Amino acid sequence: MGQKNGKELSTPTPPPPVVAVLGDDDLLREILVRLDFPTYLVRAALVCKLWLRHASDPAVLRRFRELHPPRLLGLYIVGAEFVPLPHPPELDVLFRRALFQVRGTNCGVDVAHCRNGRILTVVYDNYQSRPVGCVVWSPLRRTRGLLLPYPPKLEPLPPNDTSVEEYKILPEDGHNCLSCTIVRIVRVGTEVFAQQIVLQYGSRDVYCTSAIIEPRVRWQKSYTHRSLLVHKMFYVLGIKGYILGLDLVSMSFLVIDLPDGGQQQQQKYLRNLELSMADGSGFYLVHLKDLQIHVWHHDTDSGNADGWQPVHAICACQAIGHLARPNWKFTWMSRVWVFRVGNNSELLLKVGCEVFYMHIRNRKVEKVLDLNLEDGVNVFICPFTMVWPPNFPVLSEE
Amino acid sequence: MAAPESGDGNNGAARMVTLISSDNTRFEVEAAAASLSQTLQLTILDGGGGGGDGIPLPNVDSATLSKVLEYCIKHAPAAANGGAPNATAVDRAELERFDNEFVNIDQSVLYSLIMAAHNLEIEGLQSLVAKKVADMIKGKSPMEIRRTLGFPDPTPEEQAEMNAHMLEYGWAYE
Repeated sequence: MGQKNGKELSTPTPPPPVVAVLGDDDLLREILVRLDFPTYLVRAALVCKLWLRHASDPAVLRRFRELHPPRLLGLYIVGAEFVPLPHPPELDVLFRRALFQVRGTNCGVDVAHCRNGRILTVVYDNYQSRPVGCVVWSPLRRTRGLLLPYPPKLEPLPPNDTSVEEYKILPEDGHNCLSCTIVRIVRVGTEVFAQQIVLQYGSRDVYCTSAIIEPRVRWQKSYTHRSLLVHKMFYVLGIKGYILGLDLVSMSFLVIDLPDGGQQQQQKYLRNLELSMADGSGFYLVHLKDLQIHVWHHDTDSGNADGWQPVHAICACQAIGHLARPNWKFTWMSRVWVFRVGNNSELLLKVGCEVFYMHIRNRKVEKVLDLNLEDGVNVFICPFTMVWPPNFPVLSEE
Repeated sequence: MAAPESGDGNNGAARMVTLISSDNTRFEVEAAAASLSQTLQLTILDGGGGGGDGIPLPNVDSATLSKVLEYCIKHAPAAANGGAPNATAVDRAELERFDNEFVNIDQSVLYSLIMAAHNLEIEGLQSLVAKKVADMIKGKSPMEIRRTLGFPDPTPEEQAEMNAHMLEYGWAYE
């Protein structure tokens, strides 16, 4: 195809290609965003300062996340059993740790929360009645989990018509591995207040208490403890048609009525409602109703009167139907639980003893787990996902 | 001998353009293939590159250009189909096989290709070669990455800092 055109011309020697390529910002970024797993990206970031600067750049991270959404690695079944999902062999080490760390803590342990590659477990005394402490694990790291002693009970409270719920959650930033937050929602008669306790290894617990509010409808907790911490806002689902929001910075409450339709079918165990994170502001509500999965976005700044905006409506039957057992009847829908996975792009559906993993955007569903029949029906699942965003060393600028 | 200077797109034949590498080699290709390059596309649309003119590419040597054009010629039919939504699975599998084979090359050739794909703005090729480099460093430790890509050896201080960071941030590193 190519033919020499007359006489040879001498051209100036270009720089060695490796220097030209890896020294070029755009080209380097193109390579970095194609590294598949955040774990690889972090290692590449440690190659040199230039690479660290690019790998930790927000624009690169945004693109990386679009190309490789944080994947579901496995499920913690309450009772602290870890079930790994099929994964590439490169991640074997990570899985061995995820399996070992929590199991190694002995009995009387519950997984309370998983976030960004960390796991919060609650350790109980021998009779499983009272929590002794919390442990934050990080299977992706070498750091060992240390016991954070549980704060004392809230006293004194009136003996009658009182309820206290405790939500144990991991902080959002995750850069301090050994910290967790307990949010107490306390109801005395018709009044409600909240207490936030930050447990941090090596320093005193920090307590904050909110003012007292009196919701229009008496607050009633759900038994499934569906709560969410996103953008410093803590949300918890009650069973009386509204969500309690608590600003953890100002400790002020927000009462959010559920969208139309979401208010019906409220059950004591709230199997059919789930809260989930949004990338921007606000949060999502997933509602399973009449075989339909409705996803709503709530944003107080959206301009909508009630802040709700419907985002998706998916027919659960169509989505899972092809995977259904022949003996399934529609009644099985009454035993469907919805669980969030990381952000709003995926869901777990537990149908009886079977667990399905569903991608909301393309409606793709796969079956990931068969639970033990005896205890499978009422068991709680905590999805464990790949870390996001990754944590980088701080650049020391000259 | 000069390349034939015909191919103005008359007589039902595909329109041809001539590209001239940095070492003055002339390559004659179908305009459709050369147009995979965003950089060349406008010139070609304006009628450039035909006849005896040729489009000079002072940043791309003949060995690299020949490789780049191999890619363009293979991918042009699918690209003309608008990303080939109707392509059969066989076609797609064939392109994938070609791509895998195509980047199975020496590192210095790979780097030259990256530069060329970047300068000529050939999206598919940019992505393919960047992915190849990414594949070469996936799962490796920072030190292994440096060796793989031919970085100079780190100073003792850099090495110490790297080791410390690896313990702190390097994840599940055995």
